[in-house]
Amino acid sequence: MKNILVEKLSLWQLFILIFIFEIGSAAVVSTGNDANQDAWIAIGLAMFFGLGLALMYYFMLSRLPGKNLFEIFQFCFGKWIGNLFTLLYIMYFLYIASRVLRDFCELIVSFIFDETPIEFIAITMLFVIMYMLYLGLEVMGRTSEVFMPYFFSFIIIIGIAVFISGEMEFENLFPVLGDGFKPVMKAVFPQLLTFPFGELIAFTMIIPYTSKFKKAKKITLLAVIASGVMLIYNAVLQITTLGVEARARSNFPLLSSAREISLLEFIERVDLIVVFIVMFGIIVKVSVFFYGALKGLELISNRPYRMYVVPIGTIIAFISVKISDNFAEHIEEGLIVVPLFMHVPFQMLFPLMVLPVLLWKTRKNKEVNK
Amino acid sequence: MVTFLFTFLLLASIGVITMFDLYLYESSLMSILDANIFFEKGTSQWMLFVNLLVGLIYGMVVDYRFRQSKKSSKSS
Repeated sequence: MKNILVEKLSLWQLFILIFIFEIGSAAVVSTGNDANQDAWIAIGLAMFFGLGLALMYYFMLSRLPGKNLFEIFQFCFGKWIGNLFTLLYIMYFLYIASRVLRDFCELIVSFIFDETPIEFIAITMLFVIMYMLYLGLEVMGRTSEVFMPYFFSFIIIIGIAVFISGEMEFENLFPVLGDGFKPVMKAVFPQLLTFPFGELIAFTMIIPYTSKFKKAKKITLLAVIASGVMLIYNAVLQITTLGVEARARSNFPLLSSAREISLLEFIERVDLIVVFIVMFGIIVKVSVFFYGALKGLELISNRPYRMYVVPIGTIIAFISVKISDNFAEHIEEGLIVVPLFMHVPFQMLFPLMVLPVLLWKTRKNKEVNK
Repeated sequence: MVTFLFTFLLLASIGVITMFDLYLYESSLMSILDANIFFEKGTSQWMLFVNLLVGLIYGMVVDYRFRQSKKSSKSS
């Protein structure tokens, strides 16, 4: 068993991880439906607020460079209360990792392997993720680096191919703000802000391990903007291809859009490209949440996180299947319960609660040092 | 420690799932435990339990080896 190691991630790898993480499952399921044809505006607004959240997370980390969120909890509240917070976050990360994995399993079961049990898909997918995490954060970064060009170009190519196929109807985007600003704000709070932008909280476990921490702020913000632009592109693609109602009804709108592609009556069924995009996005997203939970366990138990990769991975596979009986229930929980009871407290309330204590304690320490 | 945390997190996750189900569907706790968590009618449920068992045994072995290596390093 390898001992506790200090792993380093380059800034480019951090950028790629955030970019893929943000697009991850947000590209699969339909987001911002409350805003109807203005979903792209809602995503843009959520990205703007997401930048604020990212700044807050970075500010917290910059007060104690080299320490992750859980270590900050211990610094602020002492060992016992800090460990309690850590345990809560571990559960949150595991739960969200399971939800993200379930998104992918549902997609595979509905579109490709309709005879295969969902349990089998969840477990095999987890094997890949467990292996990657066992090898460490650096391997996760390098894997993302290798697949990034395919991931990026495939998303762009799908848009271009749909456009050339003549399936896009830009009038679907009008009237802009026809129902006013209220539906847009309803889509932003809490849904779009927390999913996917608020989920950046998981990166408070990764950003401290970047090679140039001081430059990580700029890179994080750039990655959030890049992923936001990509999500807007996605939303425009889906709305123009499917229309507002069909997009809202579709379980996987990007996949449905890709199915419309037919070039020269020869290039068809390119939806498999979407499956690749989704698969890689979900591998990264689950890995980041999983890694966050593992670092928490490492801190609590004082044992290397690699010891927990297999046991906790099996729990994620179990929970992802047992989380709901069917896809409708899974989405209902994801839209009603999770943003309110999990995302808002863990992404906003707890960090906001910690922030004043952190400021007070770090200031006090500086004065003592002087 | 690994076994303890494994069991704790598994039970806590089941608790969270059950709570959310209760919140959404207002069904009784026992019916949810009965239908949703353990004894679902599907034929592939065994995979999940084998998967959990592998996780548990792996955790136990790894934890045992960690404690042994700590002990031996202390004695030497």
